[in-house]
Amino acid sequence: MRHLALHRGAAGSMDGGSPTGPDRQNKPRILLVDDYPGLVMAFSRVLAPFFDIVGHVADGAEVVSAVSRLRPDVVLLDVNLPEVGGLECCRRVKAMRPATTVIMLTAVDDEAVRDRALTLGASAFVAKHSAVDELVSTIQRALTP
Amino acid sequence: MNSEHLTHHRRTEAWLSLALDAARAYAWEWCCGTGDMSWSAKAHQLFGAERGCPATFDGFLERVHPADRDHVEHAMIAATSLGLPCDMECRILGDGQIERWVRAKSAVRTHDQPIKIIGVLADITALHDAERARRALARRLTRAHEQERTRLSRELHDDVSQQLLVACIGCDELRRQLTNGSQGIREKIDILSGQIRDVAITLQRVSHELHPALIRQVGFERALRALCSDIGRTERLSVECDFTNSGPAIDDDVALGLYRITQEALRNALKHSRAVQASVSLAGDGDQIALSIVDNGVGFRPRTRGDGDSLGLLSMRERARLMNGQLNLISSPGAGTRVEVLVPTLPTKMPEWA
Repeated sequence: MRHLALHRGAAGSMDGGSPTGPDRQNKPRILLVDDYPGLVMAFSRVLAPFFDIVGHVADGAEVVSAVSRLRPDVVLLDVNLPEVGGLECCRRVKAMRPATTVIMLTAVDDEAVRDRALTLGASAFVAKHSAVDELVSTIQRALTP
Repeated sequence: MNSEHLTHHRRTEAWLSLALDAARAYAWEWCCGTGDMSWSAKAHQLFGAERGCPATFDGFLERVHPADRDHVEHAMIAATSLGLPCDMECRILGDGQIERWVRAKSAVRTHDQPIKIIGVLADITALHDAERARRALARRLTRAHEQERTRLSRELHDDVSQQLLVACIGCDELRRQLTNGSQGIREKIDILSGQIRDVAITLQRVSHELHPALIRQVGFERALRALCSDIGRTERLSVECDFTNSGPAIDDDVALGLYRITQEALRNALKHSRAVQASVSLAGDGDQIALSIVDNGVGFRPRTRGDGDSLGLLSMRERARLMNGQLNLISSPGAGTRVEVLVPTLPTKMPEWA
């Protein structure tokens, strides 16, 4: 069974542990794109101490408008999205707003997908089963000029 | 002819008549010199011709399905000019233009040159109907099988493995919350987290094997290359790829069908042929794609007409047929195996009954 109903297509702010006030302004802004709400919530919780989670999107077709509206520094993008896939989303985001850092998240670390993602402008490619420390450091490295 | 011979002759004639009836076969004869033709009474019925209506070759040809007419005419020319026997299948449009499939078998009587052709037309419509029904069933089974694999794959990917990933992240969070003095617990959490990760990775691999989402993500050629390199990495089979322009647009069903045939052929190379080397070639000209999978394994003696094939080979043949293509299997003991597939790039949709 798929659990998409809660967040599909919605781009909203996360309040699960996300800091508020002046702190937020100093943290890189992250947009999460994944169609599994449980994973979005878990990522939001563990990334909140380091980044400002500005929103989440479950539907690939909504990614470009969410990027345009929320102006994140980083889009954390699942490869395997239904309908409009993650790689196509990456291409669209980079075409519209090249300065946005795109980091692909994948359940299967596949060389062909990795190569394709990097060709399309993704800055990094992280397996979803990576440890949180690795995910955080990958994002930080990708943001380092 | 004495009475004993006459009795024997009548008995043989009666048996022949019974045999023709039982086989739903119709007799005919053609005199090469005069062009005169004669049909049995039952053949008249098959052709929807009045009894007594003169039987002519043109009349026969008119009743052959237009698509088969050239084929039949050529066979008759070969029989009359070269004395070649004929054994072919064609369609007859009989009474009410109802299509019947017949097997036409003939022999030529010669005396220096062909003088007479005798033949029978056996009505094999029921056989054709049964074969069409079998193919339609195989097609539906293949589709249902693919749909079920896709469903299972989604279930594993979208639900089970995602929950495991959430559990992994939960373990990481728990580990972070521990104080410095909890080294033993931290190590146990690390072990637990590692085990959950391993299960999640295995499930993702199974999910990917069940339905290669990679085709949609990176395109057919890259996905096929990844399949070959995955097998090369995880199994004792070195797979070389030689892809030459498979064409700009490959139908999704064709891509999945060719991917599955390659997957099955490489699996057979490993499991049955015990091969250590294989090569996968892909070439296209825009209209057609040719795929071949060759291994250096022990080989085997393929059955003729696909009868008695293993389930894997049957499934490969059905998939090729499903794409309006052809699959040839070339192998012999000790000489490896070659699977050759030729399919249209964008197949015209086959009707359910075909």
